Amino acid sequence: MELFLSQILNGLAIGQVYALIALGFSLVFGVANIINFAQGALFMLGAFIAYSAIAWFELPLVAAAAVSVVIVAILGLLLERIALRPLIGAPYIAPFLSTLAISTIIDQSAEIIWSPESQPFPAALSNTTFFIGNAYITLTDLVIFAFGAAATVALTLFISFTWTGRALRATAQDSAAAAQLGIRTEAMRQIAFGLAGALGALSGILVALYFQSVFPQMGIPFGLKGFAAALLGGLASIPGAVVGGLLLGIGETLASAYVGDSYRDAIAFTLLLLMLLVKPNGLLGSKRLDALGGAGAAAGAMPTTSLLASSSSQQTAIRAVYLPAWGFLVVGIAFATVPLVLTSTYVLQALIYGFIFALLAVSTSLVSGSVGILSIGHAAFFGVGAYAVGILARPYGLSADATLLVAIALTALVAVVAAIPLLRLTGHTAALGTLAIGQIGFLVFLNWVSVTRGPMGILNIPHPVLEILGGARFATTAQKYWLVLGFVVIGLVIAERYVSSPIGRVWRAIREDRLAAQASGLPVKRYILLAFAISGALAGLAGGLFAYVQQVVSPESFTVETSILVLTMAVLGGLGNFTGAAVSGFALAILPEFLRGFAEWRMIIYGLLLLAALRVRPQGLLGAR
Amino acid sequence: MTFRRATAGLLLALGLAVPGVAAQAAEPIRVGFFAPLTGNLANFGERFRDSVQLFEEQTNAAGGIDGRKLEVIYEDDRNSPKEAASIAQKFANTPDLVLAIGSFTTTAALAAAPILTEAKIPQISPSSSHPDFPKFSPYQFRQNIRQDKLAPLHAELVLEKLKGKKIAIPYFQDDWGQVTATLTKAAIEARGGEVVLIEPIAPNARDFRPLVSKIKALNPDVIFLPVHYQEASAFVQQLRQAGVTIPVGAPDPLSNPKFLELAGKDAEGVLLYTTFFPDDPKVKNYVDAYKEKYGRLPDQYSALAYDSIAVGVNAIRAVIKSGKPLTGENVRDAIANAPAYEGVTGVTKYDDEREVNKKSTYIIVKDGKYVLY
Repeated sequence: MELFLSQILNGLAIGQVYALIALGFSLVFGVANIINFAQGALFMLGAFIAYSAIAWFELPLVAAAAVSVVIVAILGLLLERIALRPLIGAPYIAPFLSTLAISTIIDQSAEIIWSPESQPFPAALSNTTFFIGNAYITLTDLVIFAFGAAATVALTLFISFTWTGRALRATAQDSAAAAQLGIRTEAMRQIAFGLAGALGALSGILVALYFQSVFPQMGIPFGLKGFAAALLGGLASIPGAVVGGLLLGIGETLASAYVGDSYRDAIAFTLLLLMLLVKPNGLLGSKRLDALGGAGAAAGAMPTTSLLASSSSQQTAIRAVYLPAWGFLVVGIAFATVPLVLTSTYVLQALIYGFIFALLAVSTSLVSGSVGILSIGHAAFFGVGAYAVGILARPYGLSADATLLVAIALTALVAVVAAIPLLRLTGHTAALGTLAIGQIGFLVFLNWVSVTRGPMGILNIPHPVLEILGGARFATTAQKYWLVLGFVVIGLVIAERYVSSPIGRVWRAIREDRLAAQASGLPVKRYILLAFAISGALAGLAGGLFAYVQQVVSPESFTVETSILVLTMAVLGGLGNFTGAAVSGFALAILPEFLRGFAEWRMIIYGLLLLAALRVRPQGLLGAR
Repeated sequence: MTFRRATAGLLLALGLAVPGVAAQAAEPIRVGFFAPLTGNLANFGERFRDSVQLFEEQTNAAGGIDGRKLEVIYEDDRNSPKEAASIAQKFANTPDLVLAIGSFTTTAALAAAPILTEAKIPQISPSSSHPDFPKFSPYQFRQNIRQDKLAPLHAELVLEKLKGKKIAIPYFQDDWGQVTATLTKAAIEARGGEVVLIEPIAPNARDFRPLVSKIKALNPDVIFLPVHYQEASAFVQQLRQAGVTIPVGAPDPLSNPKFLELAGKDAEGVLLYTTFFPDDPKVKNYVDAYKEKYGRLPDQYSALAYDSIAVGVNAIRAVIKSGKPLTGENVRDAIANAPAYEGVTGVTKYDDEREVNKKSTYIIVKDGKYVLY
């Protein structure tokens, strides 16, 4: 019992940290209706700027914190200006990806400026610890708690009672109407981003004080948790963010205490997914969400339009360019001649990865583009396929026909099961549901040691042998090139046939207006499950091929970064446009090889190129379909 | 017009020819290096690169290898198997590349291994700890000691040096941590000790309070901590903050100046062992050169990378001296059959399984410094 109470106390301590980060997400979401992925990067910058102010310029803690909050708030304004303002009116997903690109750039710049090492935070609040039996709480916890509570109260008062707060809420509810009434909506968006930056910096500094260290990679793990907390409490709800943070903290602490520390995150994300099933709007989300104008895109039950609805209006403006199914065959045949003229295995290897990611991008485009459920968890499906091959190939001596078939079938099954909780969700909550699925997948690969061998990975996967071709063995890079190309082309042709068929038309109808599709008598759920099954099958095939090419399967290939990468590919190609997805998947997979010469600047250039592409063609390179 | 073109052509030909001639006189000997230089494990990859760069400069300042320049090609694998495989292909397609050094983790190293093996390029990993890594093919070598040889040492550390009976093992969730924890547990139990807790810590985790409370309730005699320094420093801080004074023992990765810096006074009394001790007079030259170039002390990973390239380049010299053609195959044989070489992490002499057996020294943190135990 005493242990239980002390664990609750531990949960509250980490929960308030999550709550602080969640506040920043909620604010931007509530006002600008944007999921700001760069919030984690701003949080990290806040901590590092304070660190530098103390360590390099010898400022006292309070002054350093003030400097950091001001700088990061300005960066928040800049972020809105550079990455988001040009994308107003673009499909909803474009600004989301834009914040992602910015976060890549900031994270990598931080590694260059401050080195990738952890640094001890050069200031401390206090070393005092209060003991209650075996349970304990530190003075630092109490200070953070006080700050968090003060920030919440101040923010709530500001939003509720000041004129600026009212204008913010009005902008959130209906930007066009607010503008007609004389509110400068652009300024309001900027204020929201500035405030979110300030909050991010504040939480970064408090987290640095809490853990006594700062490191450039801290944005992603803490950002994800803050995100989950915001979602749990109901996006856009300020008290919800706090409650969500505390609940998440307690939940995962208890998981760590009674199940095991490695299951901590898996249980946290499973809880999140279950929570979405019961209350799609989050705990405190429902009413306030309407008040803050989030309902249009965030609420589950009654979506008037989808997240991607604007892609249809874009459709008239920009013609989508795409290949017919047989076109993929022609391109495939052209590519098949490459190894005859090119002997460099380096180039062939890069092209192989290009093909695999082209297939994966199409698989993502199917659910994200055609059906309109943004998938930030596709790496999990990719991984299931890869692990299926990895586990079956060596110990059971199965041929590639058999293993790939299992990979395809198993992944399709997993995708359908994963889709069931998503059926009730639309818009952002569905997207975040897929994020949870992706995380759960990764954590299963990492923790289910008896099957996946955990962090050791599966090594020495044999070269593929196809019984259907009379036992042909694919051992050299050129042979694997043909194998992968062959399967990818088959996969792409099938996918394109589906999306061009009446089934594809139904999918697009669901994307444009789920309610109208339902009212027209279409079995919406069945079609969504079908889409997930086919998408899963394609991802499973991609994963299986990946395992054969690489001969090693380990969890780090299937992280949230991979999911985000394939979603980027799908969006950049033009949502629902499989030709575009294949082209951009191929291009983005081999682009890092071209950028090798830039060394540590590589990911920054990658982020900049992404930003530029979004700016020039927010509807995708080849147009949405 | 014709005249101009001719001149231009002539100039161009000259321009191409001049470096061509110079290059032929001393075609460099190429070594490929890959490690995570960006992303989550970049701090380790950076340590590797610093040492290899230092070695490259020192070698070339001393006249290169038999009059030829040593040229290291540095690549960043972001700890992604996909990138490691592409890099291996790049190395395989680079002329005169006869040796590869890398990577930090076993998974990245093993993604490169099949390609390097096919291209007959020997690979020395400074730190891949998976038991099966050198078994992949005769082309894989490593500089760190295999974990099953270290496990008895770990048991000795916690049972005899720290006089524990009940041991808790929170371990880092990667291939190294998992193997170390499992083998150490077996070794402890074989000697009659008891392991009361064995649990992984996720990479980049910072909140260890639930784990600390759990350990506090179990009340073990010793905590054995196979965890990298970033997480380990947060762990010991939160351990001591909770008023837990149980002694902590650790394997070699905590012999890192950064651990002392991050954990501060809470690192006091941590007992560990290492194969590289910067205060050892035998390694003074290396430590001084490293410190001068990079402004900080080398850690064990820097030292392992330094020995990796040293062993590889020694083998290249041996091949040249023997008069055999300089091919990856011959370099591999030279590495495998090289006489004992005393480097900065001890003596490298590969056995039949391409493993090393180095001597470890116990050290303890005292007054914010590592001192011999």
